Amino acid sequence: MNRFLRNILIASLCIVAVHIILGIFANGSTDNFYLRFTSSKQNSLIIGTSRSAQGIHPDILDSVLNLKDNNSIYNYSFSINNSSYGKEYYNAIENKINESVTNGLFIITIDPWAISSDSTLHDNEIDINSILYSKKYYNSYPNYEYLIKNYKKGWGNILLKRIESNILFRNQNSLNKIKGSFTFLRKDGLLEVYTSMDSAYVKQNTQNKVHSYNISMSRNKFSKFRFLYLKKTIQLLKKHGEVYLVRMPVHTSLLTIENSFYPLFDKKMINLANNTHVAYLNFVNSSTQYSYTDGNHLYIEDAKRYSIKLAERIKNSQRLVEP
Amino acid sequence: MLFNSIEFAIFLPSIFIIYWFVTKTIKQQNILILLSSYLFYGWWDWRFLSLIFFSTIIDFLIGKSLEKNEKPLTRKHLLWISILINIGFLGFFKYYNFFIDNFIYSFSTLGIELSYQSLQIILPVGISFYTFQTLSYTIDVYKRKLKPTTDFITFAAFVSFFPQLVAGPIERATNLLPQFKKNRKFDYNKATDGMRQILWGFFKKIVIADNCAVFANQIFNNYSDYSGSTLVLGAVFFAFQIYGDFSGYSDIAIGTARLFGFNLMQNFAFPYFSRDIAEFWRRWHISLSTWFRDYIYIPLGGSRGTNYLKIRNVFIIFLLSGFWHGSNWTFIIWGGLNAMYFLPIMLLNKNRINTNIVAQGKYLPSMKEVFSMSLTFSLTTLAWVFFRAEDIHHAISYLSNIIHPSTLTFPELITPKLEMIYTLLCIFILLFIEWINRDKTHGLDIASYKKNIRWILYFIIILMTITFGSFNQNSFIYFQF
Repeated sequence: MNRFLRNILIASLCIVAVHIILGIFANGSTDNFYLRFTSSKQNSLIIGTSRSAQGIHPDILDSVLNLKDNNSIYNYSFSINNSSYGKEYYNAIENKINESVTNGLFIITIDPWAISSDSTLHDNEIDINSILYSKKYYNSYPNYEYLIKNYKKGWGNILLKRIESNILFRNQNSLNKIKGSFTFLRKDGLLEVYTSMDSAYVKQNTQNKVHSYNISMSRNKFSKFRFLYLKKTIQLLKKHGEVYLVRMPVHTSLLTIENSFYPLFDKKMINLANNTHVAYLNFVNSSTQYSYTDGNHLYIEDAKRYSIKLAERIKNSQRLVEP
Repeated sequence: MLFNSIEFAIFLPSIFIIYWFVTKTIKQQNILILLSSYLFYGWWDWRFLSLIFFSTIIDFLIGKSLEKNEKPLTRKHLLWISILINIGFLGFFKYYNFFIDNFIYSFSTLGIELSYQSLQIILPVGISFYTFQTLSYTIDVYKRKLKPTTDFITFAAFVSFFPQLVAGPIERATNLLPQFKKNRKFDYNKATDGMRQILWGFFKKIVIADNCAVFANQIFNNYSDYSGSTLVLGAVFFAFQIYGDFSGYSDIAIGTARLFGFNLMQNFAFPYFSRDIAEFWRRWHISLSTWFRDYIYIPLGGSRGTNYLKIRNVFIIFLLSGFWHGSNWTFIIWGGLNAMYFLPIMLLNKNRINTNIVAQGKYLPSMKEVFSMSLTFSLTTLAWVFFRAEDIHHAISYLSNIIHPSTLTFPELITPKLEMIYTLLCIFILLFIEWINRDKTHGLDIASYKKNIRWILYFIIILMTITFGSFNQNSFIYFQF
């Protein structure tokens, strides 16, 4: 028996040790969220779903708005299923901000989906499948809690993904000619999505997205719970600096669905901005100026152009409110 | 509780330690097995523990009554009470909606509309497995092949033994029950081999089945978008998914039982190396095939009698086997198709020509053997399409799309492409290792290998599981049966 237990113990310890080592290799290629659980506490944040995760470049905002070092902005957006406004996202944001900061910049992106939820769900059932659900560690590196709870592949895959991304980044040509898509999460929280922009492929992706949002439209409804947490998020962030409520551009086919899902959305956001004394920057009227990978997400190069526009609008509004 | 869950990773070592270090007598060990089995099952849904408990009491009491009673008619009545209660539960939970829906549909085709709503019935996990296991006890006691036990704890532990409770192997009371009465001592070689079998089971489930599932699901769910050759590949992926899933579960179950000093029956014997369909059915889900053989096929007359009787018996057995899997016509057609594969070789009296190990004593099979194995695998895979399909229309459309010139082209690579390539590589490694050990009791039965070769193999398999495994805690397919 002792021999058996000793062998099992040795094998188990070896397996644990290998996993501890593999965890160290986790980076932006591991998955679309991991690095956001490893970065330190931040002074400025971009908040929202995958639209802002892929569509707002923090480095461009830093450069245009002259945000330096500690104040540089961090993209803390996840995805519609993980970071729609609610208790879990609120807790994650609260844990990500430096408690002492009072001069930060916070961009809260909003759209009708981020304040809606499945009409059949009770408030306490919302977000139980979110990646943010019941997390204790939001800022530790390596974050084994995240990897144990959320990484559903063998951890050796972390190494494989890392090798794959290194090969792809070394050969920029292969990234530009990619078939399908490849994602990489940057250290500043931006999710880079490299995907084919072949018109037929984009058209198909857009149709798929329209289909899935039509389903969401029939299933979802405006959520008082989410709206309450959006308001609470604004109030929390206002204590730490300037807050901007931003509606990002989106393909017209999706905008049509959004407008029919929630016709008074803009009015609601204007009222919210007025009541909470923050600026509301609406970009949906410039939607046709950009190209999208699937109708919902800005193409990486257009996201850069959009980020410049957003930064300039913020700069202008800052100028307007300066004493 | 799933074998591939964190909960089980805590549960198993805890029970193992208590079993060997705390309990002192067989009775205490059996009580521990009973409690841990109820915990294991109740983790999924504690409400259905009452079903197992009820079946246990009924069969325990009927077993005792069968022993006491000598009157043939009373004994027959007792047997039928057990059969009706057990099959009654199974019928209600598993087949009630199927029969009602088909009944209403039949009337509607005659122009008579009946209004009825199907019940929202949750299927208790493993009900088909433990029902058959308890039935085997009552039937064997009735046939006086087995003396009934007078110890309720022992009997309850036998019915609910957690390693094989929810997906088999379906144990015979004649094999398993006596083991609960014997003194069990820790055996290093047995436990080590159990661990090897568990490792192999996890490899088959986590690396093979769960990775194949990604591509099989993608192809089956979007079959109209793919070429004929990709559809063939999708069926092959499903063939390995179901093999990895089910035989992986059996390996983990048998290995776990060995850790506690029990020997369960072999449930899979490298079925994809079979040279004909009869051999396949002697190697696939052996515990169910032999259950049907012993308790239905042979009492019906088996392969004796006129050709009509032979054909009838084969069809009964295969259709029942299909229906056992689920209340869907796809399973019945799957069973019927296998019956049709089996009939010609049985009628030509060639169903027992391949009873030895393929290419025994050789490294490679002959061309004839390769051809026979490929043909058997192709026929089986074709039948799996019905097993996997959502309904008959889905299966027929899928197969119709295979009959197309595009079947002669190279299959498309499904995204994620890299993962598809390494899944194919893992299937190749699975086949290679199983081929080498095809005369053993399981794929990683390597006790006779040199120590360093064994450790290299462990290292490779663990490394592959860590690298390519899917740890999504996907349920086992056979839980739904």
